[in-house]
Amino acid sequence: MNQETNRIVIVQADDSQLVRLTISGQAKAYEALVRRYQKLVYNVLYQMVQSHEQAADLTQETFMRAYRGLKTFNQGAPFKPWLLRIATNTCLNELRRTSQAVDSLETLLEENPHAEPASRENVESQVEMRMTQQELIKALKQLTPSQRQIFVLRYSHDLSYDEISQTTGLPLTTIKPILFRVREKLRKLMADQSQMHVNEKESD
Amino acid sequence: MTDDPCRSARLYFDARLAEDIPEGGEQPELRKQIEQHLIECDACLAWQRQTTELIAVAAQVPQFDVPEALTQRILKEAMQQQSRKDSIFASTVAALVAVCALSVLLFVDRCETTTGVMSWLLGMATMAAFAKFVSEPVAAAPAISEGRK
Repeated sequence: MNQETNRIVIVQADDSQLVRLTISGQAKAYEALVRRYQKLVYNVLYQMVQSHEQAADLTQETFMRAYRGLKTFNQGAPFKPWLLRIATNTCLNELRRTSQAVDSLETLLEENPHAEPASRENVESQVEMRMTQQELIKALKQLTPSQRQIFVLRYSHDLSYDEISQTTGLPLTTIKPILFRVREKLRKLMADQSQMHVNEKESD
Repeated sequence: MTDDPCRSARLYFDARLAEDIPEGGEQPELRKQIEQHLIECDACLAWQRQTTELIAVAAQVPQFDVPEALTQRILKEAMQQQSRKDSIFASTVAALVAVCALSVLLFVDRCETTTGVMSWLLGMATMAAFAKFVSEPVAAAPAISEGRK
């Protein structure tokens, strides 16, 4: 097989084939995996840490850990959630190390949102929310890292509930209520921001 | 519908978001009731609009391209790790071959002699020395992250 044919085979190979080729020592196969997933990993990490420098370091760390751990990877399982799990765990460990609070499952499942018809005072004030990405980024910073992780995986990277469950290690039945709570929290935060803007304009 | 129509409407909308109700799979009567409630209840309508808007904004958050320099850094580090693994493997094989050769040379025809026993001891010592030699580069592994910053 000449080099060009080999390159085409590698580019077209699926994840599990690339993993097998990498384990057998084909450097180009790992390069293909890196190029396939680096953007996703980098952006998930960036949205969690909000720093390009830190996201770059964590991306590098993620791919090194993945490389070292490939032999233990269950080749019947999907590669993407496995890689994202390494990425987000690396990130959460780093945030723990730098003393940024990482919440427990209990915190993630705090309060019952359905019991209070969600932030009525805000909703009924009929604030017209004109959300911008900057406002969302600002509101995301007020979530805990684990809440941010789940929200970002679902709504910015379109991961399925199954994939989020595999990435976070949380049961599927837990992901849905967590997402509801996180959405509510963000919606309230953004409604409050909009209300503040309205108040500021009125006082001008 | 439960006794609390606001709660029902939000649970319904949430179930749609969570893909618990597939497209077209909902009960037409319930859907009609929810739609009617949204017409009558400004709070729920606003809640639904805000949630939809939040999800739409999240989907449009810009995705950054990864700089080629970072890709090269990742690949370089992987290559270094691979070559270190290869070198450890080669050293181990070489050590085993050397010990076997040395043992054969010293041990042949002298099984019952002191020299034979000494040769085994020498072989064991050589293996222990190689084991130490092989373990050292692994212990020094954190050095590979020098190029990160």
